[in-house]
Amino acid sequence: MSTKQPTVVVVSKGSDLLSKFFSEELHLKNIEVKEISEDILGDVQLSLKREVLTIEGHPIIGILFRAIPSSTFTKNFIDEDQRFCDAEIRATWLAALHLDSILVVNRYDAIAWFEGVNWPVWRRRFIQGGLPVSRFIFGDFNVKGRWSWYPYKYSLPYPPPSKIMCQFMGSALTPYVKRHASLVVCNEIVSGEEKPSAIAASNFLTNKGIQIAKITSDQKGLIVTVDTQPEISEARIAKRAAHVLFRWFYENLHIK
Amino acid sequence: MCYLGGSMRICILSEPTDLSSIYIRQLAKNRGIEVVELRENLLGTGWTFKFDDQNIGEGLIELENKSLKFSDINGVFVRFDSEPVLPKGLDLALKDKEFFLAERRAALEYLLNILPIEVANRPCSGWSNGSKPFQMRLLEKVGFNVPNWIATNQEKVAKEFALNCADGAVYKSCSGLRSRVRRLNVNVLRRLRVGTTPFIVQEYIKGRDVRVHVVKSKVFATEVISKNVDYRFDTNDVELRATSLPIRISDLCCKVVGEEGFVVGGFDFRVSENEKWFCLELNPVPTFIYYEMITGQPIGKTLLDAITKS
Repeated sequence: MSTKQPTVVVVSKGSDLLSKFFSEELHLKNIEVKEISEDILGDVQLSLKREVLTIEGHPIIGILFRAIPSSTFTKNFIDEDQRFCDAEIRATWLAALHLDSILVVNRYDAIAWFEGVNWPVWRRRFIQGGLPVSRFIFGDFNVKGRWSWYPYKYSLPYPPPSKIMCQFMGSALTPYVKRHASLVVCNEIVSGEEKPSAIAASNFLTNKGIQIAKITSDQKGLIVTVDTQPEISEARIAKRAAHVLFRWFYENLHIK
Repeated sequence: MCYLGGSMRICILSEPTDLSSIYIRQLAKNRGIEVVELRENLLGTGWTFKFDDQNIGEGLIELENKSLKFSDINGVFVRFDSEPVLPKGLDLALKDKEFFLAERRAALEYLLNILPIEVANRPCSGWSNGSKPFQMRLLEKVGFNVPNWIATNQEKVAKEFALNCADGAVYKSCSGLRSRVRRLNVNVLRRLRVGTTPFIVQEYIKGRDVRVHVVKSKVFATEVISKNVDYRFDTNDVELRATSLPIRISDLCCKVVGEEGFVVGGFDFRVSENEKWFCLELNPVPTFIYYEMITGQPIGKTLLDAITKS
């Protein structure tokens, strides 16, 4: 039995403001925190049993994982080992995120984890769930007028590639419209517009174990895209988001 | 290329040397089922697709000589290439190439995940196999026995775990990347000391291997007679024979395959000397041909029936 303090792990890029403010709130409550830079996650000494994760001997009770699962986690490994080792880290942390003994922010299932935490997996689910989504076309279309291209691996719009490249890549296009972004944290809109579509999407995502997301809607109130690992560059918003997130986290943590 | 004749039509999306695909194609041809072959690296040149995902019935696959509505196709058999290539004539710098290949693959996955026809298997249905510790917990939760295991990169922890295993321990990768299962040894422990990513250390179960292929609700069990730790890699002195399953195991296999959304799944079991069944893995892309060729079990035919809903 470990005698080390139960610990919350925060995995992120060093520059992530949400993680920084969240960690500060944990410290204020005297909760042991281990902050790990995502690019050296591969260096961490850990053991994962059926229901317990320990990191350097500390039993883990909470995880905020602010890295994209397809990131590089093995900066200190030699180049030819990185692809394999990143896959190993990815596999290990998915399992860790699903331990019942750990409170997790954005507990992605295997589909979201490996397909990508970006819009395609959520769009498919929103459609199945009957949520209102904007029009998207895929592949080889002769489009007229203004369209936006959403690469499958990103949640930001770009000007469309050429028709030939759309054919080659099966690209996803949506009509170019004015968009509104809402940052939702634990079902609360912390910045942006309080669109009904954002609230509906937020409820849906919360039921799927997702507490943080940026939801982009159009003027008709249709959901365009979702980013479940949004960058929050404005300190004021990041601080508010961290506070709302911490409130939920602290209420649900199994140790106080 | 498409074969004319027959009122049924399937697509096979694979790379040309995939044996399972070649076999399914031949079975289909023998039954007069039209086969439309789609190659990932020919998307944009040999074929294209277009659809609106909120009006999926009007989606089209366009080939050099004809257009097919999605509703004109009965089913799809998929075997993605593990090393996809660019279209001929397209030269891209490394980063652009990686982006292009990722985008194209993601597009095909999106298409296959939403097609309103049978797909063996939809990409979204197999991802639990990408993490062995994740999948083992899943298998245990649904009711299978799984061997004791730990995922670790700590030498002391691995050693202590192995000491508590009555018949020793084996180790394998955590991810879904193909890896050989081996006995835990001093070389591996030395690697842990030097520093490595976590891997699975698992109790070794003395007994035999059983591979179970499930196609919808049809179950094909194959006993593997081998003295080797991992018969998939050590193919010397390996015998296969058709066998039967306890009803509980068979029912659980079908239940999991159904819940995971598979058309075909491959379970690996280890059966102990006192007949306790331990589930090791559920494979969403099982190589069934090897087992069928030796045992005669009609896995391919059953799979074809499933994707054509015959």
